[in-house]
Amino acid sequence: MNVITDEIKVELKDMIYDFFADECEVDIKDLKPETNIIEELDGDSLMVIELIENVKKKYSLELKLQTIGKYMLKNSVETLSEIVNLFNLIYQYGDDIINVEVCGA
Amino acid sequence: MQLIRFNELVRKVQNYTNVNLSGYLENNILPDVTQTIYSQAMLTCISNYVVYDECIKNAVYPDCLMGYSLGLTNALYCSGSITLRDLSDLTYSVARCIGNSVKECAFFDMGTIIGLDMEDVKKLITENNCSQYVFIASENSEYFIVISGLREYVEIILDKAISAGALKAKALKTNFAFHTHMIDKYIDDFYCTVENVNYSDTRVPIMSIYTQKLICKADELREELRKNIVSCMKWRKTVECIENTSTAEFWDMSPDCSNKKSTVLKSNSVFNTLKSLENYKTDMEEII
Repeated sequence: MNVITDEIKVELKDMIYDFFADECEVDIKDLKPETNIIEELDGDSLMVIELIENVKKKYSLELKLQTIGKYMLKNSVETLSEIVNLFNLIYQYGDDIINVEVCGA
Repeated sequence: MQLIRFNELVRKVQNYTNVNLSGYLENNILPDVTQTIYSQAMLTCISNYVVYDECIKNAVYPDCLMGYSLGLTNALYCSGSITLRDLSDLTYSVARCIGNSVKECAFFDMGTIIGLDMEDVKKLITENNCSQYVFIASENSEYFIVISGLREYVEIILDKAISAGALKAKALKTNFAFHTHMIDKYIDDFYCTVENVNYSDTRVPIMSIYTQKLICKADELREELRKNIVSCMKWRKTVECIENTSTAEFWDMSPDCSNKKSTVLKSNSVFNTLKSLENYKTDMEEII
């Protein structure tokens, strides 16, 4: 398990917001934690995959995409705050993210 | 201006077929499956062409065109190889093939799986004894696979994909197993129509998503159309091929900008949509 600092949290959040602003061609100032990437930004799962790959590369994380798929079966990942939360968990737990949620249920 | 052009083309096409495309736009009702499918497809073609026309008017000149599935006929029209009438005939022919298969109760569908790679999907198909009924229709990118086949088996694989950890697995409700040989007995109409079209050499070459070569001659285009309807698309390989030649700049022709930058593979590839064009025009007006 990785310890996530406040600095990393800010970095991840900025990365996510920058990514969706660029991908969805919107002004970053218009993005809010409750912004729904599917309904409001016309985003899709491919973007989530690309973001995962970017984060994995930046922080040298080991993670299987299928783990995220299984996490998403049980947890909504549609708003920016949910995505930020997802990536915070990815950073901390990697593939163990699925076990974290099961224990917490 | 775009709407004017769109309506102009819709009126022209309505004269060819007597299908009430305008009526379909207003209330989505047409007398039969064939006309409905034709209308959906033809309106998509027309709107994509309007975007292309807008790009050309704003000096965005392509080095080549690429068409994904139905987009190939669109690319042929945009390239000047076929007329609007030919585009309508080809599209109607496909709609008739689908309509006939529906009447004969051949239940086909296609689906998208996001988050598993090609080998994962092939394994799912084999392990669930679906190899005779479900096929890979396209590898769009490493984790974006399209499957095609008999509907009930496509649904099985989509369910299995979700259980296996796909981020998304969704049926496309195409009513046809494009890009597989399961539809062989239903597509003679299409092959005849392909033969009867009078092709001109393209003004802009088409990138074949089967051979990754640029094609522009009538016989090559005819062959590409024939291959397109029953063959597994190599979209990822074709995009890679373009990206490997130089820094690639792609322009998407969908009017709703539904395709996003994640369509392309390299991070330094540029991906533009109609929104990019609108932003560019606004910037230019401000400068002037």
